[in-house]
Amino acid sequence: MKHASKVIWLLLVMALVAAACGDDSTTTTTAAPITTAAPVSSVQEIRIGLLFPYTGSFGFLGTEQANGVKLVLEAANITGGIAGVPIIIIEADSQSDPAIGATEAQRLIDQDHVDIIIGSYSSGISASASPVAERNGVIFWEVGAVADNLSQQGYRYYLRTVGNAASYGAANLDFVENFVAPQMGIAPEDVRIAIVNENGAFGTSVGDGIENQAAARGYDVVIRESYDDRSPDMTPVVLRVKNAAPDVLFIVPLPASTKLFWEAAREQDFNVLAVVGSAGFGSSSFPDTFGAAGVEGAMDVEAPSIAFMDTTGLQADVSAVFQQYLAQYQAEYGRPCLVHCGDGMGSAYVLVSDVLPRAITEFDSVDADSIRAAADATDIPVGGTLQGFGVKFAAVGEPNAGDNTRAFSVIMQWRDGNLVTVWPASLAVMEPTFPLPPWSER
Amino acid sequence: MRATRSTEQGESARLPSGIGAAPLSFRVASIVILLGLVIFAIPDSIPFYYKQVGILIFWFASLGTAWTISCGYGGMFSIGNAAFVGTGAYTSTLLFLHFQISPWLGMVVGMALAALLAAGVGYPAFRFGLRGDYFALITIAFSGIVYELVNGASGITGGGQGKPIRVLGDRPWLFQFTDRRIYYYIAMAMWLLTVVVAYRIRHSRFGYKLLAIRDDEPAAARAGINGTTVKLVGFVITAAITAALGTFYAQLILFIDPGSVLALDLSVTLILMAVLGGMASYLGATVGAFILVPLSQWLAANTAVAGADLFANGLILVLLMLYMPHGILGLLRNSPRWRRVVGW
Amino acid sequence: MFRAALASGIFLGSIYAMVASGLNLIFGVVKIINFAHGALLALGMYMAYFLITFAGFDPYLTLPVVVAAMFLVGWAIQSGIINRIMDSDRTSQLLITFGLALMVQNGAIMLWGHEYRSATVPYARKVFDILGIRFSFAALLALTGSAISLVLLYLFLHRTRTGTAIRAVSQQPDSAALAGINVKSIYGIAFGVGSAMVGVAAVFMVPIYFVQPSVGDPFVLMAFITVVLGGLGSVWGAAAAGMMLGVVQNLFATMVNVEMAPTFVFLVFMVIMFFRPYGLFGRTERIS
Repeated sequence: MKHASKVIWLLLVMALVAAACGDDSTTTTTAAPITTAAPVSSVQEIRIGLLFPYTGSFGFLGTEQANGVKLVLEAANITGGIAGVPIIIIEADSQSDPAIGATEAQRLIDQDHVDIIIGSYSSGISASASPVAERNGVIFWEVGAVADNLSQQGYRYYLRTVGNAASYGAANLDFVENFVAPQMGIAPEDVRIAIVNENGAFGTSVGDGIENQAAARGYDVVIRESYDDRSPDMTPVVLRVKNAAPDVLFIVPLPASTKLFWEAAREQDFNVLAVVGSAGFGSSSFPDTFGAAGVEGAMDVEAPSIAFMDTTGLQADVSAVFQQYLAQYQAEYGRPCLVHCGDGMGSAYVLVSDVLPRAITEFDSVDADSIRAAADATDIPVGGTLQGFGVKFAAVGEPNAGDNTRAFSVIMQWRDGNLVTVWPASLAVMEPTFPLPPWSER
Repeated sequence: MRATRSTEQGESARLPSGIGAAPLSFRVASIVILLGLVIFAIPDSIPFYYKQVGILIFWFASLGTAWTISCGYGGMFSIGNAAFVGTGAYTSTLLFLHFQISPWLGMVVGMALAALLAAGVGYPAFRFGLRGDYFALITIAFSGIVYELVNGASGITGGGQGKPIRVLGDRPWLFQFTDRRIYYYIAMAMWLLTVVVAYRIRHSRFGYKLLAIRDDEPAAARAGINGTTVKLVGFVITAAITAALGTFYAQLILFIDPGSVLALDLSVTLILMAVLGGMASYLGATVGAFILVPLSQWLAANTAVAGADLFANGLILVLLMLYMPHGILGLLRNSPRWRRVVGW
Repeated sequence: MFRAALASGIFLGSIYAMVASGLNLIFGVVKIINFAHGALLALGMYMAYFLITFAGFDPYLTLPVVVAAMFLVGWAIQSGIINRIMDSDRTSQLLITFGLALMVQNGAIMLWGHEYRSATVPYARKVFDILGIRFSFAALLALTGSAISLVLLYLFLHRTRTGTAIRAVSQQPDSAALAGINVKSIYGIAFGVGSAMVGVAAVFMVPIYFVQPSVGDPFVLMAFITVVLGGLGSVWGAAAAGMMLGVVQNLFATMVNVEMAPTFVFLVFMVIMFFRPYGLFGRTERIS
């Protein structure tokens, strides 16, 4: 029937047109001409895409990270931008899904013509979005994903400020050596260590990091368990770990399994002298769910919770903005800036106070090579960032190119509903309490 | 799909089947469209993002067409084809990363492996007469097993962390190209190939046997058709094609993890393509993909509300099943001529 | 550790049994795979959550409200949507419940976001220690609730007129229609009761699990396997299969390997399907 054939034609053509036209971009400003090394031209704007999981299972902490970044970028704009150049911010939601992260990255590059992509909270999303940036010659500025292999791809344009998975392991085991073992009055090699991790990118890389470093030091890992974060029942994991009778538990969950684990641990009366977690353990939803008393004494290893860290070691100029940003965040979001907000803020601060100014004043460009060159020259000592560590990016060609060799992770503890830094002593605001009282006494 | 027999027996014996039955205008239009698709990728002024949407269209169209061979023709309702996608993707990737075997060869190995898996699952299922819902459940369970096995064996497969493939630049023998347009053409070629395979099957004796089994297996058995063998062959073909597409995906994105190539969502989405277009036709998945992929991309990019795109998928599915269960091409099924064109 | 694993398996199994019994009813009577079952479970949990959080209900007292509401939801889905395609082919029916699942689950995401919410009550968190086996009061309540609701379901199906009509329709829809039973209305009731059972499960699950849109996913897959294993048409079959699956899953997870437990369950399922397609306890034919 002619009618039907026309319908098919129309549909096919429509579909083609739809594919060809696509959607409209979220901003209407046209892209600034990306400058080459031509000496006379200057940069008109810096276009930065924020690629974070605003929604989805990582939504809560992903949004915290993104908000930290945004706060610093907007603050920079208020003071006139970077060397007078304004920052244009474009946000994209990776929806906690690596595949969407990759297509959104491509869209940010193709349609919004971003110079830098800042992301991504999740190691899985970083793994699938960073190749897109690398292929297209766009800087991928990682603030929160920690898997080690992310910086081992040999990429030129991947830069990460936060401590990677190996730094978690280092912090954990240093803690065992310098605090737990002395407190227990035994040698570090005699401390019974349990490692439990979710089996995704994040959990596996941190878990591997802890286990490998423990083996290198000759410490005693009595059990290593991987589990699926989506499992509805954590009782089997708890039973297995309890059966191994560890002294210290290092657990690397995602937010979902945090609650189930903690509840199952209580039900099964699983007691250890110290629990050091990550991710969900560092989120304000942890005490929100269990109450301040319910989480008292639990520890978290990550970049520091900046609202509760000792700032005396910070450089003067950093200290000044530090207080201002913290107050602003608390006012705007009604929550103190903990770990993930700190990741976003601290990392964006390095970008706007060090790397981008150098790129503009010395290289007169914000293309990927200029930013990389500017980053190569970055040399911030300890105390020069909001998170307390220094910054020196590993050069292209080194095994973990782009990683911040001066980043470290710290141990924090929940005290009276606040996540305070307790170790190392240089950043601690309180002494850690040890051991964790058994469930029957809490 | 209870195929209504054409009352115009005499006429159908005289008219050519397939594309030959279509009016000249349709054939010309098809060629124009194909040319348009080819030319679309050439200009550099068209940003790659749109060409990537095109690649995804071809990819999903191929996956859906492969599924049509089993389900549209043979009635084997599989909701686990993602298992084959993942098999192809992981096989070629792991062979490349560990033994430096070219992904082209890895693709072939992946296809063979998927074929074996399909036979392994299909043979007992068909032999014991598991059909319809039960078969669907078996495929879901099977797909779940593959997912968990890959996720769990992190030493070999990288588990939840996935496996990245190093960007090597321009290495055609290793299935990597710096000119991303080449991926577009490869995807298009795979799509055309798959459609042609589906078309040829439809018009072959084998295809008629599949259809006979789909419509009435006991009757087909009485006519001497060995249900188990025919269905097995169909299922294996589907699996092999699907695995090849998995390898393509791995080489396109250069990062695979269980969530992207083995998830139930993928199995459902590719079915949706075929059903939207009309699952009894070799063109069905193509029509479905050309509509649904750009729509999904647009929704995902433009809605501030999470979940809206999947909600829309669900809504489309429900409305389709209520009002247009035969899909878009099903609208043509009252015309004997057009039925022949789309292979209904 | 073995006893603790066994106990935790029994508790998990009781939840599987509840979810599966509803699915069993729908599968057995209306003869469709209800892929929306998991989404309905999540919906029931959200209902209970909002009642607890905003209306101050005690979690367990939400039971009558949630059960009634879920019955209506199920009845509406059947009568309004699925009824229209009862005469279509199987694929359409399968896909429509898939579409409904996507809509309900993503509708929840659109309305309430992905956040993980929890609502519990102090007495539910109380832990008991009997013979070295530890469990929470909430788990015990779930087990009891499961047992009671299954018994009630059995009584309903075997001792009431409506129940008998439902069984008649499931076994011989044509004869039932000839006998004067309004088959369409029975379908609606069956779907409603099946959804109500899911509502029961939801209420008992809220104090134990997070309330979030995909909470139903792991349970619904297990529920399908339970139904198929237990055999259609058998309430006790589904219950026994649910228990068995819960125990097998948790025993394997605790004693052997946590990550591989679902795989093991799937494998067991596939093997049993090949050799006993009627399920372990069922009497009904395979559906084609």
